[in-house]
Amino acid sequence: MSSIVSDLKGDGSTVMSGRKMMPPVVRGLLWALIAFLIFNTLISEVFDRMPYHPFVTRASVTVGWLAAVCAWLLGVGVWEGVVKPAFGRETHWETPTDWRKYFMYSTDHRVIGMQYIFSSFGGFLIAGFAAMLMRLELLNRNLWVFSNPGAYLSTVGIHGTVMMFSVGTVGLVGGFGNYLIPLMIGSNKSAFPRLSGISQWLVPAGIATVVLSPLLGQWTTGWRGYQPLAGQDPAGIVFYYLGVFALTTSSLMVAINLTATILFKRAPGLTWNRIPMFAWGMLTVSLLNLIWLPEIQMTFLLGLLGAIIPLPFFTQVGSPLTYLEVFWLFGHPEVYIVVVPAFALWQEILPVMGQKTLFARQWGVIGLVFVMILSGMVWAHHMFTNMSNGQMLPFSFFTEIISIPTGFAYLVAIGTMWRARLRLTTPTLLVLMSLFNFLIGGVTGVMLADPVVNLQLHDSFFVIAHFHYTIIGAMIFSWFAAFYYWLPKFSGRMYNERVGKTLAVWIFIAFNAAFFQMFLLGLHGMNRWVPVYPGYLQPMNFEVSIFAILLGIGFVLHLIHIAWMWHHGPLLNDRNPWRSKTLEWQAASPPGAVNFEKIPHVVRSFYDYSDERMAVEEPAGER
Amino acid sequence: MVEMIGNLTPRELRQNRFALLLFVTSQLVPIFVMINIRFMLADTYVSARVDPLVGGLLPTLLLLIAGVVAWGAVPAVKTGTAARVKSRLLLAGVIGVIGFITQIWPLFSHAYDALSPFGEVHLVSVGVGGFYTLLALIVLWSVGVRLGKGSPLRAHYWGVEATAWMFSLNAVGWLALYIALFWL
Amino acid sequence: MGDIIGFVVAWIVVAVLGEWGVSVLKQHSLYYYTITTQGLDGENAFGFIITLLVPVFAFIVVMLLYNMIRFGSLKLQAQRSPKQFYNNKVFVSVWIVISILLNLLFFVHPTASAIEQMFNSEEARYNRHDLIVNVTARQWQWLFSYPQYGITQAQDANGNSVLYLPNDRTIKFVLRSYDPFHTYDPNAGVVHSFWVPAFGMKQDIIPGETRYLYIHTNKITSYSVNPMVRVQCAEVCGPGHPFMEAPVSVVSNADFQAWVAQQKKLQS
Ligand code: HEM
Ligand SMILES: [Cu+2]
Ligand SMILES: [Cu+2]
Repeated sequence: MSSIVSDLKGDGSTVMSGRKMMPPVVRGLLWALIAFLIFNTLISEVFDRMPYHPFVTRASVTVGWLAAVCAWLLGVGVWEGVVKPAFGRETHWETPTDWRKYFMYSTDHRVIGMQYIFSSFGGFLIAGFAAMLMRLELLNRNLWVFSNPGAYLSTVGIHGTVMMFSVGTVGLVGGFGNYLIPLMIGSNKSAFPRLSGISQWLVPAGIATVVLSPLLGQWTTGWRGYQPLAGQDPAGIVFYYLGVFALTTSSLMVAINLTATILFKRAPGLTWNRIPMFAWGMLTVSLLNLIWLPEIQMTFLLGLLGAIIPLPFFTQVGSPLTYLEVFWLFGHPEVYIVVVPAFALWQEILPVMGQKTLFARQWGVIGLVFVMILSGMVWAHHMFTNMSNGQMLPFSFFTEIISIPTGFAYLVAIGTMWRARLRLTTPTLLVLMSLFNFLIGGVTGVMLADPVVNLQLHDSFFVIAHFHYTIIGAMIFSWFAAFYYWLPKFSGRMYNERVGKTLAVWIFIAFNAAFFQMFLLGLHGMNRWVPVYPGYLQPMNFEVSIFAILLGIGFVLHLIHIAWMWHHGPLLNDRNPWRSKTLEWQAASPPGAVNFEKIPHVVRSFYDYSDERMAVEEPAGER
Repeated sequence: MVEMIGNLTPRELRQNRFALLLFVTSQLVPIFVMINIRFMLADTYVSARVDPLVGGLLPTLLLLIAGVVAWGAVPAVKTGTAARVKSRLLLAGVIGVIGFITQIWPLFSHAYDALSPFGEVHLVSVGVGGFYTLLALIVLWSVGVRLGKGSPLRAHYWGVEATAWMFSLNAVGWLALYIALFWL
Repeated sequence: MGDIIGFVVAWIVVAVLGEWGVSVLKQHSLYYYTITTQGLDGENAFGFIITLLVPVFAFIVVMLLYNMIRFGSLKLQAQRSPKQFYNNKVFVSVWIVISILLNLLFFVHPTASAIEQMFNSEEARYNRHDLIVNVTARQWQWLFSYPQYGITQAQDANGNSVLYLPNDRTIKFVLRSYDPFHTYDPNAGVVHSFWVPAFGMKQDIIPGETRYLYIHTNKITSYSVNPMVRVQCAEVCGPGHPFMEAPVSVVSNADFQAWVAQQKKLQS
């Protein structure tokens, strides 16, 4: 790979060898369509005919979907890349070096990382568009964008589901993790290239499934799929379960790959003490994924069976509370899956931008690990309105003390900045904003952790504001920081500082203006999941919507800026423009055909800026 | 140069082993959930139509035996006795398939009736158990086919070991479900 | 040393200003409008937490700004920071000790104490002369009945459900989720949440369970006085969820008796 820039222009492309073949993505779609038709028809017309024999039944669409997803994966290249070799057959599969390699199954961790970044950004735009529709609806107290509340609620569900499972869980892990982790630990590949090649293609399939759910009918449960409401809804909920299944499976595979990569692929000298902070973040997140994603898959499987067999697991057999418990058992760790990579990014970017040694590094790592452990013990704080008073106390206790390890992320950040010569670049600014936003999210979290306060604020817009502060405020802002910070790495080009900073300030103001008022709306009695609300809430909702739309525009402008600079930004004259000591910057920017011509030998910490010496013995691969 | 085991370095072998165990461990979580949901739900009522010996004990024993047999193939790869590897894998496969059939048989004898929701924990457990057994069988099948292609035996060391792991851990998972369903 | 003094001064100034702002807000009521003693307990807990968190919040925000302004540089050129340190045992220890103490404090007060206050100290008052209101949540309507007065479904002249409560009384709400008009399947309910924003608390209603919520009213008011005095479903329950509302009135005892008589007349 010479450079992505020239790739996108199509220079140096090689024709796929052998006989002419359809573009893999097109082939995947075609195979998926055929598989769906065959299996759907088999079920609905032959094996499981229903009264009035509809062509698409819940059971048939489920089986058809499974077949379609398998066919899609095979079609994009898993057939030649994995299945045939697994059965010892020969394959002719050559990867082009131009842009087309991004549109097919690949085993190159950098291509996969880019694919994940595209996929999750696509999910962000789609779900963001849904958010814009929702805010437009809420601009007015009556139904005017949507014709009925069910349509609004389905949109809320799609927004939440796609955002959580394809952006929050994926953007920094599948995307930046896959691209950067091998580079950061001095390896030329990840531990299981084929596994992660497959996993990426589940993401577009999952997003498409959730987005297409209204084809089967509205579903009104939101992203949590609460029973027994979920069992009551029309069939749209089936695609929610299936889409989430594809997305969580993808994240599970990423987790296995990243964990094994970090543990087994480290360059010589990269001891446990020297593991980069971002890698620590990926390790903790992967463990969380490995524990909790199978749990929620099982839960959703039971929900799905309830919808198609029917198997009324959470209603007749058990209690609706069973569902709530098992959902939040996963649900709370999920929010840390989203935010832990952001903590790690702060600690990655600040020492570089300040050219100052990372402060109290061990406490940063301890913080990540304890957050991971404690996050499994707090789930019922989502259920204070459901439980007896005696049960509240332990959950309230753990929820409050999780703020201690979370605070360590601040301890490290602040100590690192203190008396540093902090370059106020766009990534720095976004990290500072992220620190500020997460602070508000965390402070309001302490309020929500108090049961008697929670009884008033639960399920109101106060909660909406709180979790968007943690997710957009911390994770999305850090995500953009990561884009700017590593743009030179990905493209070999620099963005425009002035534009980057202006846009950062733009989204900061729009975000805070929109979401801070949501706290007030919640305190003032605005509940969730309502496209229609009492008139006294109208003026503030109007303002919130205006700022939310400005926020949406701000995100799109960032995207345009990043995409433009990717091709047209000024070329770097140094592969390491930030003067970072971490390994990924010791490779060429953008990296050459292999990350490191010669595997580097790590001799000291990556975060020690007390002298000019680099962390590796000799930088490998000149630009 | 480090000594290779098949086409893998010892480190790569350890990495694969670690990842497989990680995967299987994480797949034990749903089984754990199934077992624990019991406390919150009715219980693990098993339909009277399921014979506790044929529908419960038999598949459990068969899967356990298949696991042990599959492990028998692993040292044989190291010593290079191809015939023994193949016969062991074949035997494990046959026992596995019979185990699989007896395991999922209750699915077909169950009355799907929304009004009398009994035995659902059992039903789902059988489905989950069957799914992983199927997965293990597919792994075994692919390794078997690859062995038949005539590449050097030692190149398949990891494939055979992975099969053994899959078989034995699947059997243990099912054993846990079996105990939860029929004994607790 | 100079930096530390500068920072501390800025921090104290901001924290004091913040506390002043919070105290002004408290006078305006943090919950906007509260009409039960339980709600006031919650509001006090909320206020206490905010009061304690203001200095913490100010510490971080001032720190971020101070770092940015004092140590920030707009030059892109990388230059090693002259000051370098890995750790500062005093700072880290103080940080950890304070965060642990703060959490323990929050757990003791308001968490444990306010639960005690909101539920247990009130409990002495419970179940003596309580007004019992049966609340039935169906998709998508609230139904209120007053068994002590033989009112089976409280309605206004247009047939919409209304909730009337006497002032200064303990009310026991008995919450159930099912559909009394569709008796063929008593399990057909979904989760709802009984929320009157002005009560300062809510309780989820789970199908197949009976739950209780106690409040003690302390203000004569109504939906027309403040729209927060309304019942509002707070848990999504299907397309009709936004419409699951009912106006609430808290009236004097005499007015309540008059209302009861009028409801009885309406029923017969
Ligand atoms: C782009 C700006 C965004 C805006 C304006 C926005 C707006 C909203 C609004 C208004 C709701 C509440 C809907 C309701 O209850 O009536 C909502 C719900 C939600 N949002 Fe966002 N959001 C944004 C971005 C995000 C992001 C980035 C994420 C996560 C990565 C996210 C995750 C969620 C979730 C999980 C819900 C809950 C959905 C449910 O109740 O089922 N949002 N959003
Ligand atoms: Cu939580
Ligand atoms: Cu509702």
